[in-house]
Parts: sequence; structure tokens; C-alpha cells
Amino acid sequence: MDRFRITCGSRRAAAAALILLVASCGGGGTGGTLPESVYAAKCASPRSGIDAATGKPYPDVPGTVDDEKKWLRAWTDDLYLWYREVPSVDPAAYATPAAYFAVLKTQAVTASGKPKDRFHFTYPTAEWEALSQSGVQAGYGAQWAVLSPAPPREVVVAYIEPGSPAAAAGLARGAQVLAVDGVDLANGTDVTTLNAGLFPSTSGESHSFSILDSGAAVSRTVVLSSANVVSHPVQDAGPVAGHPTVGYMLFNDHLATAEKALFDAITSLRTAGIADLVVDMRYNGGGYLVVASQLAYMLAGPTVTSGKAFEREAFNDKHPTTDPVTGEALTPFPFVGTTVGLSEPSGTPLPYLTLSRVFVLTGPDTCSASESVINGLRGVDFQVVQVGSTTCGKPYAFYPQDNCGTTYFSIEMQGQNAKGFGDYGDGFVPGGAGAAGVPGCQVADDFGHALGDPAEALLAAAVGYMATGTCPAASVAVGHALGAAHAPARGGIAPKSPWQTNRMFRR
Amino acid sequence: MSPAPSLAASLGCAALLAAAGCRTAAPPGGVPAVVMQPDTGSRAALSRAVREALGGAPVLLADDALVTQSTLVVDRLPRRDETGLVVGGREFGRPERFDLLLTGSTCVLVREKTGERFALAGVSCAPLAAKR
Repeated sequence: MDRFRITCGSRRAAAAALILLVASCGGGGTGGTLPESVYAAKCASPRSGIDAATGKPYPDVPGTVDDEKKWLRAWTDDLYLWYREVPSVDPAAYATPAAYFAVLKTQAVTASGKPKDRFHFTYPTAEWEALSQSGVQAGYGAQWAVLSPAPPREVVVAYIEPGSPAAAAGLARGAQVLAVDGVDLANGTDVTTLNAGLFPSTSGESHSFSILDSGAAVSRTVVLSSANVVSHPVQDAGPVAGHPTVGYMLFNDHLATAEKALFDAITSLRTAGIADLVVDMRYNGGGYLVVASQLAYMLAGPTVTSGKAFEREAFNDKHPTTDPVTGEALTPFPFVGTTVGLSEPSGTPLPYLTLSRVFVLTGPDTCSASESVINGLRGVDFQVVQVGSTTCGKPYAFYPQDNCGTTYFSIEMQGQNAKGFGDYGDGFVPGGAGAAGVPGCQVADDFGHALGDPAEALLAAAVGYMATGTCPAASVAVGHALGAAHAPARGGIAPKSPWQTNRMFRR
Repeated sequence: MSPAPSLAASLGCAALLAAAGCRTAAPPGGVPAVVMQPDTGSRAALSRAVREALGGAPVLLADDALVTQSTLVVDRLPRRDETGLVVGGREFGRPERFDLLLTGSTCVLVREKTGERFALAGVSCAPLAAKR
């Protein structure tokens, strides 16, 4: 949160710094654009009162929509990672600043044909500033996997939070949702009801579900009441059944509470004397980078990581040495070997394992800080074996920036490992070729077995690979081409927040 | 005529204290504590104190916040983009942390970063060790 507070709360200070930066560069805008500070907080509809992010009055002053657009252009020209690739467009052609912002990004595509920038969006600042107890969200505690958002839609349970309403109702991984409040999930036209039921926005909502449990022949009706559910970021840490020297750990979120949870899990695994470890991050979309660094340290140990960079953040070429927002010198993010006070007191040495490699289970939800774990370890030549499907491909970061009540997200940094590698915009590919290819196996997500069950396809493939160095027959062998590796697995996105719900299902 | 600023502040503080918490009224010292018998009122008081400490942004707390632990960690509410991915995913900062203390008969919420203290009216606390 400090990071965001610095960004949102010191924009004026940052703007002042940018004046100096731009002045020293002889002008930073395209087509004669003035520095962003000239246009910052000049708002068509200025806010009044206290900014919750800073505790100070809003900086807004009366301005125009044109001022807001000019600010966007100047800000983009200064900080956007690919500022040279932003097209020159007429701002007047766009009715709102947000519409204009939407085109202020690179139009290039990756090697796989995806847009190079898939992470460019806005958020109402008042909503973005909302806070929660770490890991607490309104919901049922059922992590849905949306295998198909359009008809015929398909939604199954990916995992369940312990102690949640979903757990109390007996829901488990693999349970298929057939209907929500009487609306057929596969082909129903009332998507509003589907979204409202699956993704409650507050606690205390009750919705009826027709559920087909995994392996069941007959469906059942379940009424779920939403609550403020606490996420457990680390679950099921321990030896794999039937494989006492192989450890397994489900790691779902780089939350603040994960610091303590990982500390405890690694301690337990160390005590158990495991010789190999499978870290299941298939649903882990990231979070605190320091947690990723701590995990990497606990996996690789001090000998491998001492004095090495876990990740370096690289801005565009206008800012090679200094973070343009904080004004601080750019220094590598280290492998962190102690607690830092997220959920444990600061300064306690972290436990670590004496492994020679780690197996990581992945899917399209494996994103950002989770990918940093893979990249950071590979940067110090610690062997990573990847099993599952291609990760999301987000080696990027940004400072969310408020202006006039809208928070803008524009890629500003690329995370690179100790070898300077960060070009995995298409994701890490198990068994793939090229720099983002990782030794391992392409295996589709298996909702027919519990996570941590040695029969579950990804875990089974990892354990098999440990013994034989080969992938199961049904999966893709090591060395397959990138294109083949991108063949869609069964894994669907597993949205964890209600925010996107009204866009989740389509008619 | 408006009251003098200091009087207005005191009155405001008293009003806040009655409703939730007030940083100037919180007594010093204390031992780590947990909330006893949480109810709607105590949860609301806790939520208001956190909001006041953090500038007024809405905050979602678990029903059992500070019931089993004396430390409360507050983060930005997780957000996802329209594809379902975490909006940020690579955060460099730190969350806000609060400690619940019992001093005398008063529950006090302390913001670690600043040391600000917020007395929680209507909230029953017990020392953490005693609870355990």
C-alpha cells in the first residue's frame, strides 16, 4: 500500500520532479506536449473534500476535458514503457479522457499474436481506494473456474476456502454449476442473474445453485449465503500421499498473510525432510513481490541466492537509473531472507529447504509475482520444472495514477531477473522452446481430482517427471514449439473478486 | 458563531469517541489484546476507527477481525481486470498494520506506521494471553 500511497499521494511532488526530468531531457512530450505537471489535477469536474488515499484535500482545480487528455498524453509520453509505440491520435476524436486513454498504448502484438499490452485500463478512484483486511472478500469461499464465459458456458469449482459458506455446503473442487437462481448457466440469457449469484458484491446475499458434484450422477440444490470470507493463501502443505520425500504446497495468493503462511509451511516441509517440492501456483495471480522473493529464497536457500538480484525493474529509456515516481535510485530487488513485517514481525530469518530444483504447477491464472518466482529462480540458475499450462505473461508493473477521479493503469516497468531476462509477455511455457520455455510438461487442469491428490493430473505428471524425466503420454513432451504449447488447456480463468462479474458472462 | 477551534476539536473528539474511536482520547500503554464477544456494534466501531486512521476509505473487515489475533493487516481490496487477472499482481509496498491493545479497561487500536492511537468505545477486549 505504501507504493500506492506514494504514487497517489505525492503526485504533485512527482510532478515537480518530472518538470526537472523533462527539462533535463529537453522536453518529454510528443508533438510539443508540455510536462504532465502543467495539466495534472485540472479537472472538468473537480472533486472537493479529503482524498482518502492521502488524508489531504483533493488537489483538483477547475479545468477541462481537454486538460485531462493533455495530462494523459504527457504522462504517457514520460512513463509508459513503450511510449515510442503509442500512436498519434486526435484527442478530440474521443469523448472522454478514459476513451482517449484506451488508445494511448502500443498496438504491437507478441510472437503468439496477442496484444503486446493486455494490461491497460482504468478504474474509478473511489472504488480503487477501497480497503479490506488482508485476504478478506465478500463471497462464498468457492473459487470458480470459468471454463467458458459464453454459451455453452461452463463453471466449476477450482478450490474452496476452509471454513467458508461453500465449505459448509459441501462444495468441493470439480463441482459443476448447472443453474443459478433458476437460470440455466450453460445457455440462459439472463446473465445479470448469473453474475449476481456467482459473484455477490456484499455479504449477506443468498442465492440458489443447482450443483453437479464431481463424480455424481444427480444434481443437488444448494443455497449459499455470502459472507466476508478470509482467504488462506497457503493450503495443504505436506508430503504427497504415497511419496514421503515429495512435498506439495498449494499457494494461491501473494497476500500479506502469505508471509506467515509460507514461513509455517516451509518450516513444516523442512521438518518432514522432503527432497523434492511441488509448488502449486496454478491459481496464483500474484501480489506482493517481496512475498515472491521470500518464497524463492526459501526454495533455493542462501547459498544460491546470496548477493543476487531477484528482480530488477526496468523503466523506459528516459529513466534508466532513477524511479521517476519515487525519485529513488533503481536498485535490484534482492532475494529476501528474513521476514519483513507483512504478517510476521520483521527481521526473523526465513526457513529454507535444501533442494536442487522445484516443480511449479501453472495455468493461465499464474501471473505477475508468481511468474517472478519462476523467473527469479531461473535467473540464479536454480532449476525450475513447470507442469501445467502456459502462464499469463505479465512481467510488468505500474504505479496506478489518479487524475480527476479516475485511476489509470499504464505499464511502466518490466521485471527482469539476475540475467536481465524479462521477455515473457506470452507467458512461461512448460516444455516450450525459446527463452520463455521451461523444462516440464504441458498438462491440462484436472478438475476430477482434489488439489494435492497424487492422482490429480498436474501433480501426477510432476511426480512422474521426478522419477523418469519424462512427461505422461497424454501431455506435451519437453521441447514442443511455442505455438503448440499455447494450445488451450482445459484450465479457465479463476476470478477471485466480484468486480469483473458483470463482464464475466456473455450472452 | 462557531466554537473556537480547540473547543470544536474537543467536541468533535467526544462525539467520535462516543461513536467509535478518537486518537486524542486513547490512553497510553497497554498489552496486546483481542476482541471479546464481537457484535455488530463492535465491528462497526472497529471499522470506523480503521477508516478514520486511513483517511476515510471504506474498509471491509472479517467478522472475526481481531478476535483471535491482536494484529490487523489492511490492504487494498483485491481487484481484477476484465479478464479475471489481478489488477496489479506485482506490488512493491507494504500493507497497513494495526495492533489492538488493552489499557486499563479501554481497547485501543494503534496504527503501527504512525503510532496513532484510537480508543474503541463499545468494544470489549481481553489480554491476548488470557484469551488463549
